[in-house]
Amino acid sequence: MAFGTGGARVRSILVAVAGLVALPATVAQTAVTSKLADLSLEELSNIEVTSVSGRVQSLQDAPASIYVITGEDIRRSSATSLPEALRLAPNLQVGQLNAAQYAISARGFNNAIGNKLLVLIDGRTVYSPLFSGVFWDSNDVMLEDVDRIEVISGPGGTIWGANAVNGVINVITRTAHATQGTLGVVSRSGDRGYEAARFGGSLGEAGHFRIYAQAMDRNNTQRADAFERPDAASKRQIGFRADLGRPGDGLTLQGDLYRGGKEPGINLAPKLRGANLRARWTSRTPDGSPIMLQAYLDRAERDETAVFRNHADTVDFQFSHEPIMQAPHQLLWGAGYRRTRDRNDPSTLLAFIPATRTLAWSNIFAQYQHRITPSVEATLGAKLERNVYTGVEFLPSARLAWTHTPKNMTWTALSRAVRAPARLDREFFLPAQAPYSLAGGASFDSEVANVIEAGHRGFARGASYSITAFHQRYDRLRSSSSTVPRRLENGIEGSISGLESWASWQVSRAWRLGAGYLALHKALRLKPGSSDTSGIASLGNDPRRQWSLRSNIDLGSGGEFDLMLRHVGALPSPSVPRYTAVDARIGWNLKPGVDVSLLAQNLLDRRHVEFNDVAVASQIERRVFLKLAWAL
Amino acid sequence: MPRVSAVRSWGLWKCVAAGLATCWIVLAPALAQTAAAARESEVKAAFLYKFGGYVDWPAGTFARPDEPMVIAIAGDDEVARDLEQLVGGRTIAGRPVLARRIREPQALAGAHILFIASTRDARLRELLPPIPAPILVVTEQEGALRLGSSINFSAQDGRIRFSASPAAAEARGLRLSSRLLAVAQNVEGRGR
Repeated sequence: MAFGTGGARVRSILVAVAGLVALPATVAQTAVTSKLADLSLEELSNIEVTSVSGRVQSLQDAPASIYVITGEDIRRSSATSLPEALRLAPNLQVGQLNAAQYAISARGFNNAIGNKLLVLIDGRTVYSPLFSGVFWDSNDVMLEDVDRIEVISGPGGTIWGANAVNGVINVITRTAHATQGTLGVVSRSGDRGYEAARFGGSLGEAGHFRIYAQAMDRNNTQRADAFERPDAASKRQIGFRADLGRPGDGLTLQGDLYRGGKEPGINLAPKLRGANLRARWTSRTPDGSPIMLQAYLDRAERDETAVFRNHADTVDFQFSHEPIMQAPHQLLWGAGYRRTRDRNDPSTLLAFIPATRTLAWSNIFAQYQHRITPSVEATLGAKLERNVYTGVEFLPSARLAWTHTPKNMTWTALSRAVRAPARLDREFFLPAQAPYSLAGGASFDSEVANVIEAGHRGFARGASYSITAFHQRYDRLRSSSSTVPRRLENGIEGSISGLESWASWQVSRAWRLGAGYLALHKALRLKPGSSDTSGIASLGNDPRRQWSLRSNIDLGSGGEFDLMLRHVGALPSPSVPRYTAVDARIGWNLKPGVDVSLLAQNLLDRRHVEFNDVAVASQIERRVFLKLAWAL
Repeated sequence: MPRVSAVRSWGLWKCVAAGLATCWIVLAPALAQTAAAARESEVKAAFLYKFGGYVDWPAGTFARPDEPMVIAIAGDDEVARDLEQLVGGRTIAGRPVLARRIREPQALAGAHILFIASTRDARLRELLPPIPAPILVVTEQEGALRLGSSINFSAQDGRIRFSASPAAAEARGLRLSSRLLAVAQNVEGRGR
């Protein structure tokens, strides 16, 4: 198979080049380090550094499987949207469905209506109350202003609540202070592209602000038989952020407004409207303990004639406090309340009954840390979360971390995670009028996962690495009854085990290599009394293996050359062949503030399918973008 | 139909890939030395070394004029390694400089400067109070000056900057020179 040998060839080239470069680079490095000592304090303050990790490092001591995509990683990738940027995380599965829609998951259960991953953009939960998952075509950020994306695979329910069953994605944008000045970005290929502009200014003593606007457009995708799927659409979004006061003691105000899709909308390109407004206040109590209060409003509308006609209005409050404790004890506690009014008018295909429903979630949580010896730390946490369908759910976790040296840590964790029912599980009727073939799931209960994980993170000789093994045991997963009308029930159980690993190696000051590997073993089965033969396949379509390689090279004189190889194993049902995609980027800093780059996606194959039945799925094509970024 | 063209174009792309790889092999060794940017850890190491020249320790801290200045590093082996490399044969005010990696706060005896790599807020709060008086504490996390650190690194626009707290330094019996305060991005108590 052409892709297979292509991948192997590029890999062997990578290894050979690594050998060639490593030697002279180390010699040069010693001389430079020594020269820095002769610079003045001012000169040192003006030296540009290759990696500015800062806060990212503090995640290093969190005993969990965490991968951080930095803003610099995104800039040096061929990503032109948030889902494409998520392909950089080795612990995520990302499959493109059509022009703008994606299936994204961690540790299996990947699906267009995946429901076990919690996604937050600047602390705002973006899942749809319809199915407890994310409509990726509705949620965009200006990529140039992203500070980092923290991807936590494994349960995060104790802090993040129900739905953080298999992972959490935290998209964090840069502060207004860090995005001052004017920036214009244009990125175009033949059939799609985006334009964005941002202006950041000062509010004097009060703080800083930024405003931005962006527009995206995508042409139709094609099936294998060259039939055009009518998923072309465009989207416009504007927003702002103001950071008042000082870091750790101030107020952040933030909001976005978007419109897009088709009119009238169709399933592949629904009409999209949405807005949100968020306020977050952080401070310290008189005794110096950190305190946080956050509130936001969110409206999301998604309209098309055939499937979903959804309007959701959400209000969300959160509070957390970290009281000062006597060493070696630490405590973090908090509470939250969220309320959504969800309206879904019947479409031609299906109905939610009742059409309008108010949902509410409230929670309290506490996490206690105890340093047992200078190098061993235990973390115990629990969250109680109440939802309107199943009442109070208990989400406990226990973690143990052993720090051998400052950057070498072995950890293990036990957690219980829960996916509370969504409207789709309880109030979903097909077709829109009786007689129904599917008539809701009045007794559908929460899905439960008991998870054991162990991992090691280390750093040696310029390379950092992480390896995590996990075993997630599930009970009460979604299935349907065999009698007509069918009803949704909890008839599937089983486990998913696997391995997540990645490494990053700074070969020389100008060259960085990265690699990632993911292995999944699924063992799901019907519970006694259940006979839903298609139930297991509809829970998700996952590869058994996935790996990636990345290379970022500074060519000198402002040139950059970046490569990423991504291999995704075959998907079983429906069957999708494995594929290897190569993305490349050549960047050139023309003069201070002006960058031109050429981004290529799927360089080696003309087209491939990433998800759904190959005969009718969108072919993901080779694309080349020309990108111009201009800062004033 | 698409399959056929995919096979045909494979030859072309193979050539492109081979071309890129060749450029890469030719360029890579050279570029490793030409790039202007430095690693974050070596810039921080250089700062830690320079700070020693801009701080007055109380009389009697050093028993002899040639007693070495000891810089302790907690939690960052990269900075420690770069500092070890950088201080070899160098002096501050005639004193040789020693870099020392530490794991436990008890190992601080004899140190003059301590760098604590970024950690959780709560951990820093736990670490700072027991540090004995005439040690210059340098950190790299938001809000650390208010927790009792004297100098704090931050990253801005791809550069390493630092803020300083003369009051926190004085509480440990140290005086930060006006030269150092002039370069600091923020001086706690002076406003912006």
